Amino acid sequence: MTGDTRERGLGDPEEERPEPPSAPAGGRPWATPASLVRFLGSSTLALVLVGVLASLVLAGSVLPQEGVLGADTVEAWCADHPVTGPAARWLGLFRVFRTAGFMAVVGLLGVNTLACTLLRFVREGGWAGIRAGGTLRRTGFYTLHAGLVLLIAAGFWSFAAELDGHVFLTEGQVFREAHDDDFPDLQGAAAGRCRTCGSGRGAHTGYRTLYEGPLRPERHLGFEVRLDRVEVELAGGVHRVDVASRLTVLEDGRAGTEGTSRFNLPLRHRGFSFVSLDTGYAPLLSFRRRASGMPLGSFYLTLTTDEGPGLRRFHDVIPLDFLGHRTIATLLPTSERVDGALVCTSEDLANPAMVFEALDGNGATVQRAEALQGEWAALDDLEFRFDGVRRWSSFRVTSDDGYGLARASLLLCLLGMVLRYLQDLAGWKRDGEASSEKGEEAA
Amino acid sequence: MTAEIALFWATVFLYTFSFCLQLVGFAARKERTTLWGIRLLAAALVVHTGAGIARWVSGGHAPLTDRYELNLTGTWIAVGLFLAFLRAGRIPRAVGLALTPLVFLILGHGILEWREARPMGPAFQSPWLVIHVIFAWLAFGSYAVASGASAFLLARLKYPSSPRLERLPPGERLDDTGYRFIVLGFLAHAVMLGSGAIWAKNLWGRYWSWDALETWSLLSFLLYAFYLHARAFLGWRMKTSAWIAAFGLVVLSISFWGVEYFSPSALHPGP
Repeated sequence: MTGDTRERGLGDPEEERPEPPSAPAGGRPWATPASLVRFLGSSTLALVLVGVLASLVLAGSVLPQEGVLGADTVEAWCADHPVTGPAARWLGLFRVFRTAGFMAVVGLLGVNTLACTLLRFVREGGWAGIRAGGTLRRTGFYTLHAGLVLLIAAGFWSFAAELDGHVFLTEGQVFREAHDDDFPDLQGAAAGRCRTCGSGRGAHTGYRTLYEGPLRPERHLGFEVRLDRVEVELAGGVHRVDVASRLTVLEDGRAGTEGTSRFNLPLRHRGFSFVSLDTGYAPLLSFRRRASGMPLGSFYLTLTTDEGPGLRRFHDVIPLDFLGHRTIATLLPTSERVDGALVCTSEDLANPAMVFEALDGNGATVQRAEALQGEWAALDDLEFRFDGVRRWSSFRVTSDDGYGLARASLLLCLLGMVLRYLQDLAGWKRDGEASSEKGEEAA
Repeated sequence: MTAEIALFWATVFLYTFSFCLQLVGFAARKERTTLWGIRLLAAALVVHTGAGIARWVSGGHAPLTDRYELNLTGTWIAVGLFLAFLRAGRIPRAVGLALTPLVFLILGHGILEWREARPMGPAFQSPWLVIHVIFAWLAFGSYAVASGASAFLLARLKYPSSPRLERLPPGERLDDTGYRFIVLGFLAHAVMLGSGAIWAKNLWGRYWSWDALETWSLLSFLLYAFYLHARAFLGWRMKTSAWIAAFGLVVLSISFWGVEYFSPSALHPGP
């Protein structure tokens, strides 16, 4: 063995001098600036912070989080847990990762890491100390911890300045940011200022959900995006192997750049990313009174895509309050009649059909009607016509200025780890050769 | 029965038989029996490779996408790692006694999730998949070997006079082996987390979503970071660090297989 491992065992305590006490004996850690710095850089504080962080992270992984699973899931969980639910809500455990307490712990951990690293640097004689001995190991230590501090800073930057929105578009539809005041006829239009542009035109809207960091610079997208078409490549009519959303960026209402958003390959424009999340179908349904034939309207129904062991299921509830029963519409992209009933045989759009099922209070089907494209299907006193199908795509619209720093700091951390532990692993090779020579255990 | 399934069951049978030979050899102090157990382990790895290739051929892609494939590949990496280090004399042979049953338990879990091989979905079509999965299994395999060494160390410390346990390497060597494999696992774990973050940024739009699987992986990473810091700055070695290493594998196993039972993730399926 060579280097630092010669005089001591692997991973043995590294300090050549004992760490100074974090506080004057009998005094408070913050009694003097020097003692405060030593306290902030102490191993004890690090252990406490990591313990608290681990506890919060554990709670966040076990309890449903609103940011990941949605408020409805959290409400359902609270209903199932009438005692622990309110307590967890009071403690903010359903939004653990966005609470001030969590931020404070992570921030303090960053301060602790920085203080510890600086203290050790000074204690070991600075650059001269690095050159004096154990250069590789010490350089690795400082590189790793500098990377950790930068990673924590990047995380804060991302949280504070990111935009994270969720958008649904049907083929032909244009996404444009707007304000609530742009829709004065809609109920519930929010009053107040748009936090992004500061205008007094109501809240920033156009997204299905939107999170903007509290320190996000005031700016809108400045462009619009149109979903031209969605191309899905299937293997065997069942398995998706490629999903491409063809998009056109509109600048000042005029078509500009054309691009594609695919899984793992988002469309990027002016610092914003359109990340493909999912795709599905939106059939065009018209409906009329059955008795009189009076047309009542038409709409695109965005169907939910359910993954299953076989073919995906595309279905959703028809959102018409005046229907007698809860009615589910299901699209069969390619249908065949088997034993008198239409069944789905492929996800390719070859011979699409719609199935309408009216359900009673127990979820049992009380009426069922089928319609190929262009046909009417009767349910109660209404008739539905299946007029066509478009595809929809959902996107995550993001802007994260902290990502570049995060990526750089990840590389720095990895480099630091390799440098720090290289000698320990190199010593292993020499130990192994020595063991072989002595005829100890070998393959 | 397809070739893929036949090779899988042959693999499981050979691993089981190998374990039995190793156990008998250790208990009865028969060096030749232990040696044959190790040879059978190597033969099992060859058949295991065939099972992986068969799956690759039927799916048209590396077996890295569904739970069966991930468990098949992961155990292959773990056994390959063990045999490579054994061949190089870096690891006590006895660690195979802890590793082999773990392998066929994981394979058993994998076969419960078996389904026909499918073409690779668009979400998996990224070079980061290969890096992320391989380093995840390198990390698990390294931590598993470290836990095996730690388990033997604890046994030696608890029963210092046991004649059977005398055949194990000295406590210091088991402690060093555990430490080195944890360092290896820690490095691989860091690559896994980093590559996963970069992949997640392209696939989901965020490099960290506090998803349950990500969170538990971070928890286990923090635990092993604590192990390394405790060893470096507090001087915790032998018994104390062995317990941390053993506990770390429990936490990591929860992040690999347990999270789905109490916190189904909307984003991130595990192995």
